[in-house]
Amino acid sequence: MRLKTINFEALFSASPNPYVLLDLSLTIVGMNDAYLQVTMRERDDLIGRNMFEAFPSDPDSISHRQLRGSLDKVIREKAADYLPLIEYAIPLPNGQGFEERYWSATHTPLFNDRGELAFILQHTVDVTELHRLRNLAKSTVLSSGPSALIETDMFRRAQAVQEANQVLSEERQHLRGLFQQAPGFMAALSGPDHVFTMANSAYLQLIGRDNIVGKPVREALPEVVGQGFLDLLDRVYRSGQPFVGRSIRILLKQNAGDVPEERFLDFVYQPVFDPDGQVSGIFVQGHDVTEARQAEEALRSETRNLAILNQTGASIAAELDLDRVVQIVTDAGVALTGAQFGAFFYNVLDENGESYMLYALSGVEREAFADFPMPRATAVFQPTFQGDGIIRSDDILQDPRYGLNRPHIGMPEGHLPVRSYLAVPVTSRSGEVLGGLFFGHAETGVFRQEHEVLLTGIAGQAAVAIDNARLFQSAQRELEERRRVEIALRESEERFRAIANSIDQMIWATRPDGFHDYYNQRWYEYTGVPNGSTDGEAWNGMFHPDDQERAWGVWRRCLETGDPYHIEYRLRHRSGEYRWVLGRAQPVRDEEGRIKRWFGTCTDIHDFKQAQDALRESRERALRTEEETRRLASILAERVAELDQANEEIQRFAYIVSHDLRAPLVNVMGFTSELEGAQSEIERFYRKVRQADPSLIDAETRAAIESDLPEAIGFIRSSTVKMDKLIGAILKLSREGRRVLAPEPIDMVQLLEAQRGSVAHQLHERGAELLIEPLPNVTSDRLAIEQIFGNLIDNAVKYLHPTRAGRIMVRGRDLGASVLFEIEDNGRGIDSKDFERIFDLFRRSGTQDQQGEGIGLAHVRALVRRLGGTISVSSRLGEGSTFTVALPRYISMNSEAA
Amino acid sequence: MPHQNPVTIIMVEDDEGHARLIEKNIRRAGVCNELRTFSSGTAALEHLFSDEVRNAGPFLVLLDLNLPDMNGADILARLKRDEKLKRAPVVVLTTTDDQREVQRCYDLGANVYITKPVEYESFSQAIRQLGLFLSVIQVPDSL
Repeated sequence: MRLKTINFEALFSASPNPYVLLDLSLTIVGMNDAYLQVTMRERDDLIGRNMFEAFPSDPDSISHRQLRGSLDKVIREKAADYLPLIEYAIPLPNGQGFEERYWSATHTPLFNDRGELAFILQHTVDVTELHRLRNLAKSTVLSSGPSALIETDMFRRAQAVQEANQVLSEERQHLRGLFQQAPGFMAALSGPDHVFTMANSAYLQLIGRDNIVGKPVREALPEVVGQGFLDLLDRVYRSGQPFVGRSIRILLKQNAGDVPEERFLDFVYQPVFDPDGQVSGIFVQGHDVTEARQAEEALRSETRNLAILNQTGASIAAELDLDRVVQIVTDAGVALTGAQFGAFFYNVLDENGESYMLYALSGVEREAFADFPMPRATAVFQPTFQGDGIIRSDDILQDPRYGLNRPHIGMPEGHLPVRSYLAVPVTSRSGEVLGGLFFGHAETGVFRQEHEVLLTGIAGQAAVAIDNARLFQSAQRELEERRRVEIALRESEERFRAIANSIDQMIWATRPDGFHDYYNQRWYEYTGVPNGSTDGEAWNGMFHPDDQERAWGVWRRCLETGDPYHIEYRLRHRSGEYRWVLGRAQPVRDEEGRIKRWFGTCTDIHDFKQAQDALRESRERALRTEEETRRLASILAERVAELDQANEEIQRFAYIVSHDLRAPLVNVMGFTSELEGAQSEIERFYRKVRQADPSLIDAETRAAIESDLPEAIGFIRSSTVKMDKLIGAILKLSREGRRVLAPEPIDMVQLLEAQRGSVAHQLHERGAELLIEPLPNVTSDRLAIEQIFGNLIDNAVKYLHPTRAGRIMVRGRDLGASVLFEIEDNGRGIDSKDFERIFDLFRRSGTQDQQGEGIGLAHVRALVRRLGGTISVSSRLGEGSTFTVALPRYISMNSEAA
Repeated sequence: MPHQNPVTIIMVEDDEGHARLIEKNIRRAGVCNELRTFSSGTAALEHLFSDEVRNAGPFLVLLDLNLPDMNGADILARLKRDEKLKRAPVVVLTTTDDQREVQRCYDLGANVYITKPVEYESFSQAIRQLGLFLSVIQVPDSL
């Protein structure tokens, strides 16, 4: 915009027409030089002054009213007004008075951005001269003649000028037409910013837009910024040197949103000089050579493609290695299509019908595909692998077949970026789809129709080459196989001979009638007889006398029936020893099934047979032993079962007995109490009698009532109480035997710490300590374990030495399958004669100064046994005791039976 | 409200001494209901399941578990299976204090389980408490 303003000002001030600019208060705000010249005034003298102050006149004069009227009309009507002729005197410089002048003026309203009237432009022309001439003509005597002449002359002059103008205008139009219609593009740029001042239609067509005049290049053609053209223009503008470009590539956008289009131009930047010799602008002209260039390019590309095709055809025709063939084909495909990468997938259908083997890659490292599964039979790939034809997509991401399949819904993460996609099936002459050629490019729209044609050719060549290579491969395989078989045959023959003589087996052969005519070297070495001495039937003499007849019989039978010969016999070794030998023979028949020869072997099995005998013997011995063991085990099991049963019976018995014993005891107790009741009645009566008449009571009565009766009742009572306790103990034991064990892992230290709590009071009272060392854990019945250790610790506390500080120690040892616990005390100890007795029911040891029924240890032993363990005691009287409990580390539910 | 018949106590106890002691103590507790004693399970069931008895009532059964001819628990089960007799409260009174036995009796529907203590004082105490129990329980009228 600044540019425009500057130009306008320049234009304004340089114009030969006088102009003055007034604001709406008719204050002079500007004028050009022509105005100053015509009004004979200085700029500073006028700026900021009112029009009528600068050029005073009598407000009542016609001149004044004319001028003001015109200006007012412009303000009022916002339209231009004309004063064809106005007399208006202007002051002469240096105050020398006024000079009469005649003017022809135009007042043009000027509007601001908002469309409001802002200024009035006065264009005034001094017509004083003309007016004088006209007046002169009017005032002459020759009223019509000279005046008319003058007027006519002027008119003629004017007409001549007008005609000349007309010619000029036409010429300009013509030039303009030429300029516009020129086949080459042309444009004129002005100033250092290269503002378009004009452009012909070819130019506008080239750039695809039309309203560029007045705009700098940077603004009119934003897409060329950065393509180097502006630098060129700047250089031409600066240096004044023209620039001639040939086949210069330019990217132009026909529309704002379009993909830039590539054009090639021949052009000239021609500097335009102003009269001062300064560059004022640049004339651009040239023509679009894109099509020529494209044709040239196409020709070149076709030539190159043909070369590639020929070269590929030649290479793959000569190539019989399958991998090489597909590599060449893939490389050629990439070269022909301009793809970023290409791949050949070999069509191998697996059981799911969709597996393709990556064969060759071009334009990309094999690792780029290493992490991806083979392409699957998706909508995109399937047509190619089914041989349905070429698939070409300008943007595969937009293709409706794309992205339909799980799990990826599109390309797997990290896949090469593919937008342009081209795939061609490779189909053999037999119609089998050998695979597909796939090409990709990260940009869209890379592949075109011509590429399809090229690739079809390539795919055809590839198919033939692959077929050939496959044929060649299979032929080679077959040849290889034959060669291998031949070698194997030859080798096996040699080997057979070598084997026949080197193996530890004797080999012989006979004629169809059984006549022995061949023995290998080993036979002679083994038997120690001269070569040929056993031909015919002499071999039989080499057998142990006891085996000769049997062997002969078997051999004759085989000769008759043709059955395989199989026998064990003793053969005389060169040492003279008869050794066991396994003889075997098979007939070999001709095509009619007739026996041609017999081939036989003898294998020394003497050592083997001896070993076998020894083994058999030892096995028999072992079997006998095992049988014996089994018999003993079953007896043992029987005994155990019997014992279990007996034990069970005893428990049941104990249970029933204790119950049944209890029932009469209830009566004994009950009626004893009744008796006591009766006794007190009797005593009361006895005292009454004694008071009334003491003579009635003799000594016997007195003894009976006062001592015998209470004594008898007392004994009955204490005995029944004791008996009840005993019965209770038996009941408890028998119940314990019937309880079902529930094995669980037990933390022994934790269990014993808990028990420390229950004897803490007693320990404290006696000033004793209980030490628990680290203990192995067991899997056992918790309740039983608690009762075992509870009883043992209870006992240890109970029987501490009266004069010694008590010290009880619990230790444990891991013995593998079992664990050992020791409860050691420094108590009063147990007499060695009581070691067994203390574990019996109702038996106790030592001074009977403690509460107890003598069932604790019996109970403990029953529990330990039930858990499959043992308990023993070692002690020194007066020094202390150690109870040793051995328990299996694990008990199972059925271990109870054992 | 129909007329409330007095509760008849049926005692099944083979031990004559026990039966006598129980009766003595019940009477001492001030219970003077009719009391019939059976010394075998068979006799007791025969009586209870006879039509005139089964439909009469109400009853309270004192049951010993150790009977010569059958297990008291079986008697209990039969009583509790019967439409009418199942309403009769059953007090199990026996020498066994085996928890499994106790549990079994409660499972079968016993109302009270009393262990006969050998110690006579607690025995008579238990019986007296039973007497108290008898005086407070509401035995349903068996139609």
